[in-house]
Amino acid sequence: MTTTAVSTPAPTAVRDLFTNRWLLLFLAAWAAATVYILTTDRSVLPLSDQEPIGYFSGIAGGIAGGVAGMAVLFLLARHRAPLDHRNAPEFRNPGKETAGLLAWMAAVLAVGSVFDIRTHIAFVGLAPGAQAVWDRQTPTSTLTWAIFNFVTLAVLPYLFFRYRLGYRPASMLLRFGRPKVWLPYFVLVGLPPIFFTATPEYYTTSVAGHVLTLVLFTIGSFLPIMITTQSLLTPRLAVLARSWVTGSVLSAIAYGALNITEAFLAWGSAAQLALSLAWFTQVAFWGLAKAVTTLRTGNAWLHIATTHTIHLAEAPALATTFRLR
Amino acid sequence: MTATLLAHAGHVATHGGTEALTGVALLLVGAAAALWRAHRDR
Repeated sequence: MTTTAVSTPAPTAVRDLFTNRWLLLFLAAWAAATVYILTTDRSVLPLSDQEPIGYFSGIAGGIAGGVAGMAVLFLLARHRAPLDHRNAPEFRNPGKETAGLLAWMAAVLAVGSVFDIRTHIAFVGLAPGAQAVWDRQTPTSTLTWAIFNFVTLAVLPYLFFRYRLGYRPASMLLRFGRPKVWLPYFVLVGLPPIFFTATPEYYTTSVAGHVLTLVLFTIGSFLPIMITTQSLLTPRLAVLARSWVTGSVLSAIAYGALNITEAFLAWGSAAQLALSLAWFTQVAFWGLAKAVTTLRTGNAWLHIATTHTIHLAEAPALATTFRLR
Repeated sequence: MTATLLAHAGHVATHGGTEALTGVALLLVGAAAALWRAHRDR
């Protein structure tokens, strides 16, 4: 007697992505939001009718480059499984730790809003709208922004999880494994967004201006977002959701919520609410890209290359603020 | 150019607090859901 084996496709990370209903729902919402932004009256929000075409041409370029970058990322990571409940680091109590992290993010958001400090100092995608925000900044406000985010979203969560809960750097995804593979990837994927967004002034900005931009964005944005959302929150969400893709979608929504006080959002009328929700989805999309990068590779640093280096194109604005042009 | 932008932009970053409260509520709902999920899986 012979038996015929039923061929069921082996699960792969790519198949995980495109069979996850929450991801498909999110992408459908993102696509609808994109159409809405392009077709509605954007003047109801401050700044958002400045250069949406610039933003979406960036998105188009970003998608083309991003898909290529993600394809290479999936290829390079093909020998390891994405992080989820089966192979994530052992978390002592992922439910309580996730709840604590989300509550902490809520507290940081609330306190920051009192002092008009938000996660992004300006949304570079909305240049020159971003410039209008930068024109209101002073060295003091910029340093306050950087230090507030660094302390509340990087230093304190790291110290708590490292020394109070006893998690090692490896279980916080902070080991930069396979550097011969991932360092070249980091450079090759991280640099194009800067030059794609850079204005002519970028190339005439002083070296000191560029160095200060790198330092301030590292402490004010890259490290805070990395520690709280990528090292700590995202892997726990994947464990709780029992799916790395669903965990990525949840992480995207949490990232969007953390950024809800963006300068160009307003919620005072139905029209503002609808358009702000559409922009919220755009912001969350970047959170999704961050989480997919982190969970696919098990490396919390790499999201800086795939989604964050674009801020370094803000060097002219920052240099002007600090009179370093 | 800056003056034009600012005039066009109307207000910049004047938040009444509603949006922060919405974000706080979203995050706290997520926190409650995480606790519920962990409790259910126990």
